[in-house]
Amino acid sequence: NDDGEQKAVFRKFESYRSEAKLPREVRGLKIVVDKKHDSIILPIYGMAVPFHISTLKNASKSDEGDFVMLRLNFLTPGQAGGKREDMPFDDPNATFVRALTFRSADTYRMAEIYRSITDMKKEATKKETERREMAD
Amino acid sequence: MSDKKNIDFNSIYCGLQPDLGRFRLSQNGLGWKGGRDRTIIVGIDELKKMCWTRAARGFELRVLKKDNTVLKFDGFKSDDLDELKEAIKIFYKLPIEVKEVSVKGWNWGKADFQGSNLNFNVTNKTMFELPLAQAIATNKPGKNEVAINFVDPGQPAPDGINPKDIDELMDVTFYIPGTVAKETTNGED
Repeated sequence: NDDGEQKAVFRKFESYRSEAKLPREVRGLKIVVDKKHDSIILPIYGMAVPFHISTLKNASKSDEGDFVMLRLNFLTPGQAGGKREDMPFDDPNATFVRALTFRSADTYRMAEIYRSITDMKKEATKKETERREMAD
Repeated sequence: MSDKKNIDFNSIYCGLQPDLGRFRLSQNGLGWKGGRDRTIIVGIDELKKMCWTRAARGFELRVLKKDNTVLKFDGFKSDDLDELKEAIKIFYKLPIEVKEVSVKGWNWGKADFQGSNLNFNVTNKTMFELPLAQAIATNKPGKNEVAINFVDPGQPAPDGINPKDIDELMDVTFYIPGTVAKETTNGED
């Protein structure tokens, strides 16, 4: 409605068209990183729950005894972080999932998952930057 | 099928346990028999409601009992629904409610309380459900934030499950913008 130059618009995205498109690996009830669909699929009480990489803010990993904990922070309104202030949201009044923490004793696999997620996020950020530069 | 005494489905899971078993519907009720001699029997008088949804391990039949506990049976194929519907109608005179799931990958939606479950819905489809009865703590880490804790760091893995074979949800944090709206009557579900 205004000059539109600075106003960032929300870009629609969708992990899967239908549940039939979920990868077979979700049957393992473990975290699945699906690069083809830019998504992380999390096991939540027996359901396979995808989160598109565009919703992810960052991921962190920490050790706790025999377990590795993986924390995923998601983008929501009201987050501090300078340049994110102009982040557009599809529905800023909705309820948001802000963070989820998982743990597993399979330290090797958790390290792999952490790496794939951070790589996917870097790739997505790079693509987004390129897209913005092209649009300029 | 109408004259059959029972209907069996093989390779069905019960709850989040790793072992497969046989799920059986009969005139007297339903049951599941799996590894480690685990058997579950639900009499016809205990049955309240049936629900069908997509889970991680294939499709899931949820059996809500009259005491409001829920049993989840996973591993069904999508085509099993017709046979289940028919059998459950004949044996128990109950319908199966089909619940659609959201696989959009969004992290925004609406939280709804259904019994002791917190359902997170995206465009009126279920994205995930949290059994609040299993929560061990809740807290408010920040303004407009609510965190629900299900597993403590020091806690061992669930019984019968190798801790290397499971990615376990420990906690969830929601962000709820704005001020709390005045409580209104529960809308339609």
